[in-house]
Amino acid sequence: MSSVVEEPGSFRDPSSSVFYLDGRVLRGLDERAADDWTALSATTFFPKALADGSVVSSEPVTVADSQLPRDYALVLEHERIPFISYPYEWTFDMLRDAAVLHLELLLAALEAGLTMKDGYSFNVQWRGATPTFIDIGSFERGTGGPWVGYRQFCQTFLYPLMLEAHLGVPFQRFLLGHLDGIEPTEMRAIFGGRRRWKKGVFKNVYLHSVAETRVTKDSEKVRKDLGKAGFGDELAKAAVKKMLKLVRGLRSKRADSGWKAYRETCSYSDADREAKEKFLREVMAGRVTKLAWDLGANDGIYSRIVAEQGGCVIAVDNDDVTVNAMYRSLRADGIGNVLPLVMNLMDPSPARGWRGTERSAFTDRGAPDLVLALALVHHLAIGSNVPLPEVVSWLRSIGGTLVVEFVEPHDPMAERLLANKRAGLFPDYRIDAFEAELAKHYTIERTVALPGGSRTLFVAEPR
Amino acid sequence: MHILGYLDPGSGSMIASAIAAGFAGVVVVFKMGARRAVGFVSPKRRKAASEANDADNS
Repeated sequence: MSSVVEEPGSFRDPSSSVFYLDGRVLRGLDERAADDWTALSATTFFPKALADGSVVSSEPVTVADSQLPRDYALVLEHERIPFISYPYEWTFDMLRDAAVLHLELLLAALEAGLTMKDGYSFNVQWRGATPTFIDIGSFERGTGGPWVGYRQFCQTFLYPLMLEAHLGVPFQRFLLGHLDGIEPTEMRAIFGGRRRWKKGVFKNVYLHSVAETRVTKDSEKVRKDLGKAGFGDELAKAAVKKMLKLVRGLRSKRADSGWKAYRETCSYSDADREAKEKFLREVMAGRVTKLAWDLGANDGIYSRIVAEQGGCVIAVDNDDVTVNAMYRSLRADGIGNVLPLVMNLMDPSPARGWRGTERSAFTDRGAPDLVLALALVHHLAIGSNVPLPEVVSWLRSIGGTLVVEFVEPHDPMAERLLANKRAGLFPDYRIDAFEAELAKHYTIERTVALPGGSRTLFVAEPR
Repeated sequence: MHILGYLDPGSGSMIASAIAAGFAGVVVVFKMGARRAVGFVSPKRRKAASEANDADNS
C-alpha cells in the first residue's frame, strides 16, 4: 500500500503543491502551472540552474492517478533536501546569500520573459552550506508590469537583513514570531528619525510604508495603471538589479561575540582538544551516519570530523555570530554536508503556521542516528538550571547514538558558570550521578577521561 | 484578464516597487498620478462617471 502525504506547508499556491509518495518528493501542477513549467524548461538559464544546483533537481514523472492526492496536469519529482530549515534558524550571511540567490534567479527569469510570483525566504533551502531554490512553481510566464513579489521579498529578506546590518539587532526572533516577516509599517516605526537615511531605508521602508498606507485601490487596478503609465519588464529588471546591489552590500553589525573566540579563550589544553578529536575519529571510524546533530557546535570543528564520513550534519548553536563564522568557513573550505543553524536549545524552534503544521518543530524534521553533545551538558544543567535527569531524558528522546561530554564542577568553565549561582544549588551535578542517569536510558559503550582531569567523554547507545 | 497570482502583492507595494526601480520608475508613478488627475477633470471621464452614477441610482 502506497503512502501519500500532502506537504502541510504547501497549500498557499493552489496551482503547485508538494506531496510525498513513499518518501519521494513530488510536486503536482495544474494546467496553467504545467504550461509555465514548459516555458521554464525551454529557457537557457533554468537548465544551468538545475546543473549548478541553484534550483532543486526537478523532472517530470508519470504517477498512477490512484497514487495522487488529487488531479494534476503534470507531476514533477524533486530531490529530497537532507534537512529542512527555516530563515529564523539561519545566520545573517545565510539569509543574505539566500536573498541574492532569489534575486539572481528572478533577474534571469525576467531576462527570459518569465517572472516569479512571490518573494518568500522560506522558498530557499540548504544542501549543507549551499542554498538552493525549491519552489519551482514560483516561476511563471511574464505578464509585464511591477515586481509582484517585492512586498514579500522586503518582509522576509530585506527587512530582517536591514535590522541586523543597520541596527545590530538579530533578526531570527522577528521571523520566528511572524512567518510573513516584518511589515513595512513596523519597519517604518523602527527606522524613524535619522535612521530613515540609512542605506536603502528611505525607499524600501519609508516610501513603501507611505504608499501602502495611502494607496487604497485594489492591486489589479494599480497594476493596470502602472502598465498604462509605462511600467514594463525593463523597469522590473531595474528594480531587481538595484535590490541586488543593496542586498549584496549589506553586512552584519554583529561582528563579534564572546563565543566566537571560545576555542581560543576557553580552558581546554591542547592535549584535551587533541584527545577529544582523536576519540571522535575513533568513534566515527567505520560508522555509517546518515544524519547527525552536533548540539552546541560552536565553530563546527567536531561537525567537520563527523561530516568526513559523508552523512549530513546539522551544526546547531545559540550564538548567531559564531554560527555565521562557521557558515563562512564551511563555504570557504567547500564542506558540502554541514548545515549550520542558529537555535537556543532551551527554546528550540516549535511547530509554526497554519494549524501548527506549516513549519515543523526542529525535533520533528528527521531523527538523527548520531547526536554530539560536547561541552553542552553543563550549560543546560548549570547555566539554565535544567535538572540533570531531564537533560539525559531529553537527549534520549532525540534518539541515535550519543557522544556526550561531562564537564565536572571543578573544571574552570563549569566553575565560571557556578560562580554566578547560589552555592550548593546543584548538589547532584556530579559525574557519578550523570553516569547513573545515562545508564538508565543508554548502554554506555565507551568512556574516556580527557588528560586535563575535569572532562569525560561517553559513547552511549539507546536502550 | 486578471493577471495577479495567488499572492496579493499590495497596491501600495507595487507603487513602491516602481519607485525602487529608480528615476525611471518614479517618472512612471508620476505619469500614473498625472493620468488620474487628467482623467478626473476630462469631459470624457466626467461623462463616464456620471453615466455610471446614473446606472447605480436607477
